[in-house]
Amino acid sequence: MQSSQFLQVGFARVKARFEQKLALWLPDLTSLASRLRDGQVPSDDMKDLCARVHKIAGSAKTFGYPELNHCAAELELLLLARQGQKQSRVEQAKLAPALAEFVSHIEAAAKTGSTMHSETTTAPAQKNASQYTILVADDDEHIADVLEFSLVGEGCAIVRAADGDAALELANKTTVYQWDLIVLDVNMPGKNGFSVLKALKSNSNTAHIPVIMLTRRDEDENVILGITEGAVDYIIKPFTMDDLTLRISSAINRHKVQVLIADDDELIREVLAQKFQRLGYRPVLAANGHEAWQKLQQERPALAIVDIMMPGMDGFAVLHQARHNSATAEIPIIILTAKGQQQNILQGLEMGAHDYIVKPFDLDELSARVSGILRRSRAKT
Amino acid sequence: MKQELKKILYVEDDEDIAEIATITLQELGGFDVCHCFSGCEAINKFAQFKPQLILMDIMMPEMDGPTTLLELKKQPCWQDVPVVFMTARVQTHEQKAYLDLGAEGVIAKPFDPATLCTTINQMWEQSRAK
Repeated sequence: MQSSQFLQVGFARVKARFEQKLALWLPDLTSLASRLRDGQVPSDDMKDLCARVHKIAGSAKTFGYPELNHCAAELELLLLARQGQKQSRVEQAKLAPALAEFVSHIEAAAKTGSTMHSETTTAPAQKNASQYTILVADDDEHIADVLEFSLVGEGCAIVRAADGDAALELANKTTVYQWDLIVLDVNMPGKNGFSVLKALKSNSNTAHIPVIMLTRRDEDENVILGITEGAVDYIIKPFTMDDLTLRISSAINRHKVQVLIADDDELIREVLAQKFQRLGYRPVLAANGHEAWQKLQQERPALAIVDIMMPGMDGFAVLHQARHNSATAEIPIIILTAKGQQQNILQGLEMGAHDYIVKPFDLDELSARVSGILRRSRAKT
Repeated sequence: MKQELKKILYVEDDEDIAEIATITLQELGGFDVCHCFSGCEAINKFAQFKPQLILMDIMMPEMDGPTTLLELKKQPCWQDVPVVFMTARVQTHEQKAYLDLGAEGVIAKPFDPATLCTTINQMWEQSRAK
């Protein structure tokens, strides 16, 4: 029967996600267990622990881990007694070993989960080369469900937030989750998508994570606002699956695209680094020609922006080296030249620069040129 | 006149359990399910959604199942709808306590997806017979 097949597949996916969560939680819980054994643990961490234990006590049995469930239930009682401050000395003493036991059960479950995935027959074949961790922030659970079903099928680990505050809290847990992407709804109660986006981009902990905004068809100005604030892309509801997966994989992959910025002016380096980071790329910096040439060879960026006037090895020398080396010959290079230096532009182009831009430059114009070049070079491969 | 059960308000803070239960209820049972992650959300959505039955987890952070039920009953928009609790910890004396609160029944976790819909329909029939 079609429905029960869907149910089986759905169940397998949810179970897989549960096991992925266990594996993700393991390092944090292990460290917490040893800290608790050695002494006091901050109340925020305890709150976090309670939430996780509660979750496992509620669902482990459903996913086939009755012992883990039992252990979690005992631990939850101990934690609740502690919170209510009615914890007896015996209970206090039990806490650290109970947590240690809990952690070992999780370890066992996470291991079972990972070996089971390679044998699974009910879930559809997963084509994940790298597993992406995606935060989905949307108060509309149907949209979140759809996103989740399609993305989990692609091999992604999805974590959901129902509002802005929850999203920010989760996004900040960068020691627990290696976020590849955040999908953010514009219309959420409380903190709306834009304030969340701003908060994400102004926090150095989370600024580098690419963000895609979800917006309704009739809200065009939101799109511009989002891109200005640093979102890498937007998806308009109602969306098609193809559009969704395409934009998501492109946003995530852009994150892996390196852009070299070579300029002896520190301010220019900072401004450009920030801009490209907000656009979702990974900036690589060089303060002079020699460093630029080194990084070109080492990092093989997708594109390089090189200032002409640099002390020591200048932009021309970098260009020359890059073009005469097979490893770096194909890397598009944009040269930065000062106003009134027409001959630099001509020489640069003749030496193989892809494009040029004159200082003082318009940041948005430069970004547009960069995106254009990268798009065209992607189309070639 | 036999009325069919269509609309269920489902309150569960665990997203994984919620997902399985929601798929089960929607796909196998054909119900129209409104899922809430918390008691607060349930209180907010109750008036608009107008469920015929409430399926509610007991152990939830902040506001647990029984407290949510008490709060719901205080709302001016409250209509007498049958409430079914779901819990991982079912002791007989606890079960009785939930029934005393006015619950129609208690379903134990982990629930069997194959029988969830039948059980819910049974409890619905039971409440209609009163």
